[in-house]
Amino acid sequence: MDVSQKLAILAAGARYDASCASSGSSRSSGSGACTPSGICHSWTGDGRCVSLLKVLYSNQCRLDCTYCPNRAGADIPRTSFTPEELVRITKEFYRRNYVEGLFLSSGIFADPDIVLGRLVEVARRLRRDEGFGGYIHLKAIPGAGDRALREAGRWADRLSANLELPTSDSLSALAPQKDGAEILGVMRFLAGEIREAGSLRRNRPVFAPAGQSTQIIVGASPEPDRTVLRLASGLYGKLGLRRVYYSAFVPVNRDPRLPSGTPPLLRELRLYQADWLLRFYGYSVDEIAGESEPDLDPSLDPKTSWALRHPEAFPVDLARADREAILRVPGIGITGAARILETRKAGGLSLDVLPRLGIVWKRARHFATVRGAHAGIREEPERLRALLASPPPGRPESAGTRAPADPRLQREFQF
Amino acid sequence: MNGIERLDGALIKVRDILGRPEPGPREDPCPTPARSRRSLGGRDRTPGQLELGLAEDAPVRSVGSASERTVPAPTGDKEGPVSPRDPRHVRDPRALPVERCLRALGGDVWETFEYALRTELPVDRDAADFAVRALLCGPEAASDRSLPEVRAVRAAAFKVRREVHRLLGLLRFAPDPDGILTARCEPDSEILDLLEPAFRRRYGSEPFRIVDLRRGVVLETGRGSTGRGSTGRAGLPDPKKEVPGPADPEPVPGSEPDPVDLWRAYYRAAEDPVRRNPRLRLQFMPRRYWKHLPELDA
Ligand code: SF4
Repeated sequence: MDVSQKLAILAAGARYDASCASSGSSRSSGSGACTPSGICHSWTGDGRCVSLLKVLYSNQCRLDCTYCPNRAGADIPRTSFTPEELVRITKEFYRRNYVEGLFLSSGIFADPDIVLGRLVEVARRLRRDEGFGGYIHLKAIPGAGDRALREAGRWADRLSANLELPTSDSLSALAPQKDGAEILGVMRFLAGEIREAGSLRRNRPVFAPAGQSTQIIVGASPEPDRTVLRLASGLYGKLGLRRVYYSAFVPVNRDPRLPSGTPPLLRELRLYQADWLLRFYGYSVDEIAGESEPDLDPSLDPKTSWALRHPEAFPVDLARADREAILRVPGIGITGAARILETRKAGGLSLDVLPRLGIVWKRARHFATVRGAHAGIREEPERLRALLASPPPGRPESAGTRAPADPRLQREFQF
Repeated sequence: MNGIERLDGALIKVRDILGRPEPGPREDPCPTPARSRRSLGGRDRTPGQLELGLAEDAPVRSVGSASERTVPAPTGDKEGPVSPRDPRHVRDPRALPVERCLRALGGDVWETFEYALRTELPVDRDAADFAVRALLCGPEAASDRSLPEVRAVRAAAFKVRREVHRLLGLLRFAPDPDGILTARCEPDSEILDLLEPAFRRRYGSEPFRIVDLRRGVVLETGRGSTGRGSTGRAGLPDPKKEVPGPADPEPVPGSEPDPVDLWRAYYRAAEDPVRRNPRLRLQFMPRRYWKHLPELDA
């Protein structure tokens, strides 16, 4: 098999990993540098950003996770790169400005220490032999020892161990060879190392300066959004994760344990919107997906949904409110809030100016006033709700597939 | 008129507005109470100039970082420092004190003013008004989007920042026949020098070249200096005569795989067909950039 065929197979095998960021690191060397904000180098026909050369080292795997295209039982061509091939392709793609660097994952073709050792070897050769200063994201293979993980963090900008499913019950049902506690153990270890390396003590060796991330598949198992968001919130708060990625379940394998149908892309989008609210807007999981309504409303973005459920919090007077209250207005994001505050400070804020500040005024006008003046229809909640229902960008609305709800209580991960 | 003449023209316009002997019937530059007004000076003085430091004849080399990164000015009949955007152009000394004052305001006032004038939008008068407003009322006025000139200038500057960010990802380098890594683009605005630092970090000491086909300009780096020229010079392709595009040698059978082919194979494989959403791709990557992307022109 030539390297082009390998590349096609091992890139296709990695495309279900949603992580694409090249942000969070400011490493530089004689041959390359990371851009802290990350850079997209292209967008594939599915609208997703191409920032890194995202591939598997090998698609051979001993495990048989039901949802995975590379599972041991899948009838697919198997192949592996050599470290030389990966180093050469990464360097050449980087040199031509096709990518910011390398994202390297792998099937579990041998003992976890050996698998991680191969990934580390590629990273080490790039850094040490080639002076590569671009971005490297390595998969932290669960089951690998502390030494191998430390070595990975030494060469990589970011590490990730994927939880894949939001509860230990679902993991046992759909990926019985995986151990949730072991994956969380790796994440906890990485969190400790990242914290140590980030402390101000001098002479600390570098360890994954762009932190760690993880991925949760949604739609393969029956948990509601609240469970997924509680998990994400815990990972951000307790383990300091930089990102939690949500990946709509794509039924690539036939298995009676899995739902069939279209991927729940709309649910995935709503989870990303909710995640954003958790991280940057000061919302709590209880506010976004409470016990009584544990699923996000597919027809509304979660911020609008919260606003419609809390009429007592509106209208917000943009001429007086603090930033936190302004950020709660649907249609006003972080940049919009900053512009409102700047314009207010300069004395120029009025109802006429607001549509020109780059905010989604047709949405915000129903929830905001300027010294009592307003232009919305807040008094007609049903009409307003219909007006604000939003399809996801670029495609017609579709709720996608969903595993049937399981009345049993799902055991959430403890950490 | 080249970009530098345009920039200097706007700065001189600012100087002229501030240098009028009287404010006259002009609209009050700081009409709302929250906006702090800076002294305009007495009626018998040149208003604004003494307070703002515009009246003095500034030494021609005192424009901050403007001349630090450039190659020496060509000998010519003009005096003054060369432009950071294009060292072939010499700055007008009358513009420099105004530039210094705008820089001294801090924040993003100078950058916004200067970026707006890199676009092809007709914002010159707005840019001058924006600068006058900022100099007289303070830097907050430069963020007051209730003012039409602030909106116009900021919208133009945003276009430049977005295009720079896009092209940092979308430039595609390949060795030209002379072996130098070369990227071609047709940016809406004059941005080659804004792209340069990121690629210097990427390539270290390796020389590279970025060609702006739309303006017929080349930025070329090598051994620590940066040069600019027109595309017709020194054997570089003339965009009007030659078909643009990377010039990789024909692959020899059995040799290393062509990186362009590998990239195309990767790009195809990375797409998840069940998520197909070409409209979303177009939102992020407008079609006008596709011509120079090997993954899309195949
Ligand atoms: S271990 Fe990873 S590659 Fe192997 S089957 Fe499970 S998810 Fe797929």
